[in-house]
Amino acid sequence: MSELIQPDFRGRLLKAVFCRGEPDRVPLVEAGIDQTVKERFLGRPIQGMAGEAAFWAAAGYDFIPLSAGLRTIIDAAIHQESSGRFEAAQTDAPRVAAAKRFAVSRLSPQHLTTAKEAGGLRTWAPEGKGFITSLDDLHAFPWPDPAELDDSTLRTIGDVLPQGMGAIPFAGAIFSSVMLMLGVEASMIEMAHESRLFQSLIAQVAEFQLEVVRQLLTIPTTGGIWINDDLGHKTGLLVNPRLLRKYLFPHYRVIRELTAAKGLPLLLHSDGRITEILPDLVDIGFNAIHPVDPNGMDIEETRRTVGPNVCLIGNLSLAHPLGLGTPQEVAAETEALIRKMAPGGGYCLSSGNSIPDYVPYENWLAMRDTALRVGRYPIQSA
Amino acid sequence: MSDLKQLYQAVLDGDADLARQTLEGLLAAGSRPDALLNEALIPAMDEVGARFERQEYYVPEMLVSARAMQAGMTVLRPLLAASGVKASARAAIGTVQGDLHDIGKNLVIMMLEGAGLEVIDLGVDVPPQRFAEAVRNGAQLVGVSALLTTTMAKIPDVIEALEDAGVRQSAKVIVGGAPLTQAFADKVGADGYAPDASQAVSLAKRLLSLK
Repeated sequence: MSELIQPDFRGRLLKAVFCRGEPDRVPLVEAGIDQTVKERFLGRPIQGMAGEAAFWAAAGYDFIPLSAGLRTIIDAAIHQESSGRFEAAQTDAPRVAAAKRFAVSRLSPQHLTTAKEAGGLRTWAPEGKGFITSLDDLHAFPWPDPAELDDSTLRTIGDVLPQGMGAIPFAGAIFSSVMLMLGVEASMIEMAHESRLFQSLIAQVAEFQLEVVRQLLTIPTTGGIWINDDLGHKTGLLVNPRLLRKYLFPHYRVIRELTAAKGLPLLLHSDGRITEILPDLVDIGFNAIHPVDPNGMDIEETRRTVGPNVCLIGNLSLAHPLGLGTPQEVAAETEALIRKMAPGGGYCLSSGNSIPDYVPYENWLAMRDTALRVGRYPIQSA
Repeated sequence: MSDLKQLYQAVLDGDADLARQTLEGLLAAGSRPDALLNEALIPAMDEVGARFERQEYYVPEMLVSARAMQAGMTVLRPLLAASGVKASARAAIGTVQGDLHDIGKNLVIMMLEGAGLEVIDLGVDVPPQRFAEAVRNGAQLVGVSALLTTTMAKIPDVIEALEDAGVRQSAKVIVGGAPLTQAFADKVGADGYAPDASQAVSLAKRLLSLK
């Protein structure tokens, strides 16, 4: 493994995320990569954690993203989109299993199906109603003890991580958990009225997720916390920032205090245009913002708004070039993006979302290869 | 506050019950259905769109206002039909074949209805030929929604179906959805692209030369 592919979580990834100057090259980051891409790259089926670690390291990534917290229960119920995000094999504690059963029993397939594809149905979110539809549902939901969630993946992954490789769990998702539990449309209605159901649910979700974060941070392998809350749509925030400041950001601040106390980074993943709350995110102390989807966010405008001390991760469009372009177009846009954003550090290359199954393998490879070729510091001018 | 103003305000506030009650009261007092539509409901939804674009309203407020407008329209629609009042234009909106996303399309439909258009909801997973059929049945505007990169690639099939059916020139085609861009709309030969529901209304009005 060449020096530039060798994982370097602390020297490369954290240097970029903490905006401490230029590392040896631009780090590669993805929230999830489809299994077919990973297996084709490795040339063999991926089995278990060792296989996962082997892919992420061999491909040039410095850390493995892992799922944790309440979203593992919710996603199990709604059959998360096949983004290839690594999921631990779990032996569920009784109340975790009960929570999943509760959710599954209240979600009908037609509420979940979002696309028909050759390989079957793609599901992502309950668009109408979710599995919590009333205060009675909320009272009946069998909240597990956060300690009952299976965190054995994170506890044992250190045994198989290649040297220099890290692991960052997705945890602390509060807004998106509420949205998925209520259903997207129903959650918007509840938020419009700031209903008791919304207020009770978000308070309970936050309490649960904060406890999960506290527990994750006791595990030595935890390399940071990556909150995956989708707060935006294409042209702006989903909800009034007043609601976010009242019901969400105070919890983000607690998570920030917890990660900062450990010297670990706090990252945010949000789809959509979140420009309006960028000053809030800076003030909270997020270290990195992902994926700065160009189909809604201008990365140079974002850089000007957040200043030099917040790492930006992403901005290569999933639709075009990654999904519908050619490898040559992917390479050209990757190179341009790196030359524009990487000088000085504080930037990691990523797709504008993730690498789902509809990104051609050759396009992902073109992005990765180009980043390794032109992302070496100091960045050369074209 | 006059009852007409109260109806306008109820829609703006997303109060469906008050909107319906106020509207029924106005009808009982002799107001004309088309006057209530044109002087309260449509102006209210115009204002909702303007507030959305000014980032004073967000998706929740837009949604509850649209529902309040629809509560009023449920009462008004049969009366308008009975009195021979025609919508300003007819649109047909659907999610492209293979895609089953609903919310974006539904918001666009509600906002277009709020602008006074008659909108046929073609649903999700709509075969291209059904868009053509809708145009044959009088739709002057076709709206095609797609949420995924894979399904947006089916949008050209809709335009091709309109051409094959010989009705492409009879309707304007607008497209929208998360992965779409103006460049994509131009490339596939759509007449317009809107990044959100509010801008879909202004686009539709412009393309159909409506006020």
